[in-house]
Parts: sequence; C-alpha cells; structure tokens
Amino acid sequence: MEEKILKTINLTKAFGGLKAVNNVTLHVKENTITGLIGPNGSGKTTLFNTIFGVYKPDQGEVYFKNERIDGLNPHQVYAKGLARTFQTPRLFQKLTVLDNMMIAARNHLGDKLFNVFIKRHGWSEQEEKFAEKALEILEIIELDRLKDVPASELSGGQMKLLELGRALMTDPKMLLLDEPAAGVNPTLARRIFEKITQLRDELSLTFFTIEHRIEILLEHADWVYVMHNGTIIAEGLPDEIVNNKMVVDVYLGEV
Amino acid sequence: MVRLVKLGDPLIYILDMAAFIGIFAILAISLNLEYGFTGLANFGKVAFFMVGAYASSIMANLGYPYLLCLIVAIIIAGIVGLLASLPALKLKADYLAIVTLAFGEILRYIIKNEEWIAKGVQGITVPSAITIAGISIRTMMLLQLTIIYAALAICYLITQLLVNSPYGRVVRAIREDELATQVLGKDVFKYKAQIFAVGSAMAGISGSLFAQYVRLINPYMFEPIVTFTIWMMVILGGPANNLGVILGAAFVQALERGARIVKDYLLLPVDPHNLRIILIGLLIIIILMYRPQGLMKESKIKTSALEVSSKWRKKSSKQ
Repeated sequence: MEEKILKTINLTKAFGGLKAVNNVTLHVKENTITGLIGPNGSGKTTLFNTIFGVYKPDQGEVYFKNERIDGLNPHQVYAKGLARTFQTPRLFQKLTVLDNMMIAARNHLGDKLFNVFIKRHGWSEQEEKFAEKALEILEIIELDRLKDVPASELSGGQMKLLELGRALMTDPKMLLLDEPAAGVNPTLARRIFEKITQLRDELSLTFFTIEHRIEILLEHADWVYVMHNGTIIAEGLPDEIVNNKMVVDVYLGEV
Repeated sequence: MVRLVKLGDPLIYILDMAAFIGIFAILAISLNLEYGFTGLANFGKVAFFMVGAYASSIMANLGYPYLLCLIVAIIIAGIVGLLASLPALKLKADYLAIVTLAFGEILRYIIKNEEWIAKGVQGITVPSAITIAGISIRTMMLLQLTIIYAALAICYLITQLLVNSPYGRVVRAIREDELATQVLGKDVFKYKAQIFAVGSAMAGISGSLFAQYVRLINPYMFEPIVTFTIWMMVILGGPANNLGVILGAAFVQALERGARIVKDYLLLPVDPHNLRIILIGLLIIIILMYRPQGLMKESKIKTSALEVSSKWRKKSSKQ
C-alpha cells in the first residue's frame, strides 16, 4: 500500500512559451485510486501524455516502479506495465468490439510478421486463450452481447467502457484513466467508478484518474491532486480537498 | 455505323486481357495491403513495379535464369521499398502520399536520364524466360498466363495469411488509430515499414512478370497514371478485401483492354479507347457516391478467436 508505484520529479513540458506542465512532482501509491482534478486547460492530459511518452518532457524525470521511463516511446511504456485511456475514446472504429480487445493482448506471438507463416499452431492456441480472456472482460463490462459489432456503432458510454476493458486486457499494473466517466449518464458514471474500486481491491491495480465529476471521484479516490496552470496547487485526502480554500477558489467554486 | 473492321485471333485478345488482369491484380493486392489494411497512402506504387521490372530485365539480359531474375526483383524492390519508407513513414498520410509520388517520379527520371543503367528512353528488350522452339503464340501466352496466375495465387495466399492473423489485426488498428495502437504496446513504425517492404516486394514480382510479358520496357511505361490505375482498382473493388481488389483489377483492366478490342473490331462514332477514361472516371464517382466501401466490404479477421467467440454466444444463450 505504501509503495510509490509512479513518481514524477520536476516534470516540465512546454509548448512554445506555454508551460503546460510546470515543475510537477507527484507520486501515486500502489493499489490506490489517485485522482487528478483541475480546471480545463490546467495541463492534466498533457501530464498524462508526458508520463506515457506521447510527449518527451523538456525537463524532469518519471519513474515507474523505480525504473526511469521518461524518454521512452508509448509502446515501451506499455511494456513496463502501464495502460491508459483517452479523454475521447480512441477505439478502432471499423474493428469489432472483440478485435478491439484482442489488439491489447500482451506478448502475442502472432503479432510478429514471420510468425504469421511459421509457428502458426503456437499463436493460434494463444489466440484462443486471449479470446476467452477478452470475452470474460467484456462480460464484466457488460459488452459481451456486442462483441461482433464494429466499435463505431457503440454509444458514447459503451465506448468509454470498451476503452477501459481494452486497457484491462493489457494486464497492466497501473492504469492512467483520462475522464473515465465523461459523457456518460450519472448512473453509469457511478458504476464505472464502482468497477474501478472493485478492480483496485480484487486485482490490486493502481489507478491514476483525471475526472471532472468531482462528487463521484471524491467518493472513490484515496488521494487527490489538484492542478492549475500546469502546477500542482494542492494534494490530500478527498475531504481535505473539498475544504481547501484555494481549490474551492480556482476550481470547485462556492458551494 | 457499327461494323466489323478487322479480324484477328480473338482468343489472343482475351488472353492478353487475362495477362494484364493478373499482373495488375498482384499490384492491387499489394496496394491493398498498404492502403486498404494499413492505411498507408502509397502514391509511388509504380516505382516499385518499375524497380522489379528493371531489376529482372537487367538480370535476364545478363543471362541469368528467370527464377533468379524474379527473386532478385523481389529482393531489390523490397529493399528499395524499405529504404523509401524509413523517412516517409514518419509523415502523416497526406505527406506520405506526396513523398511517395515524388519518389516514384525521381526514380523514373533517373532510369530515363542515366542511360548506362538501362539505355534511358530507348528502353531495353527482355529475353523470354520461355525458350521452346516452334512454340505457337497461343501456347506461349498460355504458359505465360500460368506463371502470372501462379504468382497471383501465391501473393493472394500470403496476403490472406497476413491479414487474417493477430499481425493483420495490428495493422488494421494502425489504420484506425496510430496512437491508440502505440499505447497498446505496438511498435507502429516497425509494422508500417514491414508492410511497405512486403507490399513493394510484391510490386516487384508484378514488375518482373510485366517485363517478361511485354518483352520491352521503357520509362514511359511507368508514369504516375499506373499508380492511379492501381488505386482505382482498390477503391472500386473495396479496400481491405483482397477478393474485392482482384475484382477491381479485373474490372478496370477489362475496360482498359476491352476498349482496345472494341476499337480494333468495331468502327464507332467515338474512339472507345478514349471513351474508357470517361467511363472509368464516371464509375469511380458513382461508386464513391453510392457504395463508398467499394464492390466488396472489408473482410473480417478470421482467426481461431472467431471460433471461441461463436461458442461463447451459445454458452451464454443457454443460461
């Protein structure tokens, strides 16, 4: 519980003159749901992108399980055991729900060009195991009925769920979720967070979650960071955050 | 106004059409692999076709057996494809299109102007791989067709294996969303370079067969219009469907060659060979308006996962 699974030290990413992420030092403890909140444009998604190697940081370091990961490409960050979702789901629209899940399989022999022609038996068996696993996850997120449907035909909420399912399919140690409950109805939003809590407890996963639905996030989070203009302005237990004068001023507003 | 003007052996025309369909079907499949499945807008397709044709012909003129010429054509076209892809694949789709288009033209101008390579505009003749004394034209063409269609069958098989595999699933994912594929652990650049190399090698096969078939090649045969013709085949037939693009190749070549047959046999008030350009253009517009997915829609990814999935349905419906 006390192990710091993810650390950033003085992380900075600028676009031109704008420091979207400015000197951010934070850590996420293992087996927690850590929230990241802040007004629009405060740099939350840029922070995620910088952690995941989509952007190279201008300065600072990122450690995952005490291993330095800044400067790596996204696929190398994935290899360390991190997974992520996007603010607007980035699904493979023309592929079926099941194929969307299958892409995420870790260490699939059939992913390699030459194995397509040799070792067919080997990866074919693997493929069956991955398919079963994918279907089990789809059952958990209640999308198994839609397994043969192209992802483009899903509703917004279902897309969010599928992206979460796809991230789970990668057997991650930790997930970065960018607004998992955005654009879904309140009931579903609550259920998504209940699911996240369940996954934290049952699979000992760690979540670092951006969310604008503060009331739902604060119910489930173990720790919360608040970002404003690229810097972390506060951190604490959910209760402390709600009562923090500065946070209320810049973000939550008067209640 | 319609009357017969000239008589020839009609079978030769049909065989000739079949040969071109086969040669272009290989090109269409290779572009389909790049564009239809992986989303790589290769507008320099003709360059790799040309590399295959020239590599094979230069080898043949040096007296090497045809099989060796073909293998060298495949390897050189594949390598040129890989080298061309390394800088180009870092670019976004539209830039990739322009860079590959320019690459094809540059390569063609080199062949055209550097006469020491292959006699420039004069072109080079290609010694036939089939050397049987006293062979009739029909038999000769049938033999050539056998080779062309055997090559087509092999290319089709290889591509089908590729796209109906986890590998094929990854390349389709790249087409849909590169970043999402990357964060799911796939080295996108490596996949794109591999596909480009395989696609170019296949174009090399086609080029070698083409040179063998026409027996004289010159730089004017490899203008960008060839690339566009291949694109038409893919768009008409249905991107990401290999049977579809073969159908597309047959369709476009039937119009191309058919127009020549009509021109030779019938006297019409219009020139059918020029009319075909209008017809093909019209067809593309109609297809894009009413059936943008092409004649055949994208094929499913057929792997053992499908069987597991279909059993799953039965299991859950029982409960």
